[in-house]
Amino acid sequence: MTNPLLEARNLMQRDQYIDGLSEISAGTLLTLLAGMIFVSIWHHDTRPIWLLPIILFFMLSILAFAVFQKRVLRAIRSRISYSRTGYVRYREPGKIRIVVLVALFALSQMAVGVISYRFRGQQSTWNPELWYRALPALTGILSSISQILFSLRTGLYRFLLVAVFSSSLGVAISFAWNDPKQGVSVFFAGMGCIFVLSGGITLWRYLQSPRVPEENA
Amino acid sequence: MSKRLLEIADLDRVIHEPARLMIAATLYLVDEADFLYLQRQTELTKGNLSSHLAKLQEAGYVDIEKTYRGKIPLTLCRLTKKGRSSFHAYEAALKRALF
Repeated sequence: MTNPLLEARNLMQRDQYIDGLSEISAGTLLTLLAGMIFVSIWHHDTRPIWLLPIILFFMLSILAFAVFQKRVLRAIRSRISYSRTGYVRYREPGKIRIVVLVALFALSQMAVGVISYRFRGQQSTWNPELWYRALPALTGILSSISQILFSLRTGLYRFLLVAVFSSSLGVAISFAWNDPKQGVSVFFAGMGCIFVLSGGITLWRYLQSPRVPEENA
Repeated sequence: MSKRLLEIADLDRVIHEPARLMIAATLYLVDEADFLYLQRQTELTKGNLSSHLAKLQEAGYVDIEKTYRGKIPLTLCRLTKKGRSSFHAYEAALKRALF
């Protein structure tokens, strides 16, 4: 028998993604990261002067995103979500959970490094190019595993499609893209786009639902 | 009768009522929520939800704040420390008695 509190918690986690805004936000960050990586490696030998403002633009955008993301999301939600499905502030994840997530991420990146070293071929030393080559496939597979688990737990099956896309994209880029660094930026851009698309469709469908009359809030 | 089953008689009756149990369980899992969110989660009518919230507030389990979001009135509800520990104790007692 499942614990009803656990079931309620899963349903609430599902509610956090009801308006698609969280996915759009994550997708925007991934796209900005992709842009940043792309302009950093573009003409990296000569690096023309006109490239600097573009690099600066991406750096400032990512910084602004980190600072204002929560505030902007809250402002948008107060206009479109709270009048439809009500206002709720979820409990912040505990410190232990954050430490575990950061440790898991660090471990996954170390795994990428170890695996790329293991398959270094004829080269005697570790080559960062190998890390760039392995990164899309392993990140894609690891993120798709977490998306599949999340999707099964919450019943949000659109994340299964995102999982299939992210692992296939990662593997395809790792094996087929000629320039590994460029491949990493294309992978992040692809992931960002699929998140924005998935969130956008969810938001569009969510906006079809009627608002509750104001006196009910 | 089994001693464990007899413990059911000592359950907190304020929380034990089904509608209030749903409200308390919902608030236990979040920091705060408004009236509309609670109504959606519990599927109670406005009147029912309002009266049960008042009972939980009377017992000191729920803190209700009447505020505004722009010009729209907003009723924010959150479980107090006492409410949180009472719900936790209720959950533990029920588990002890039935499982």
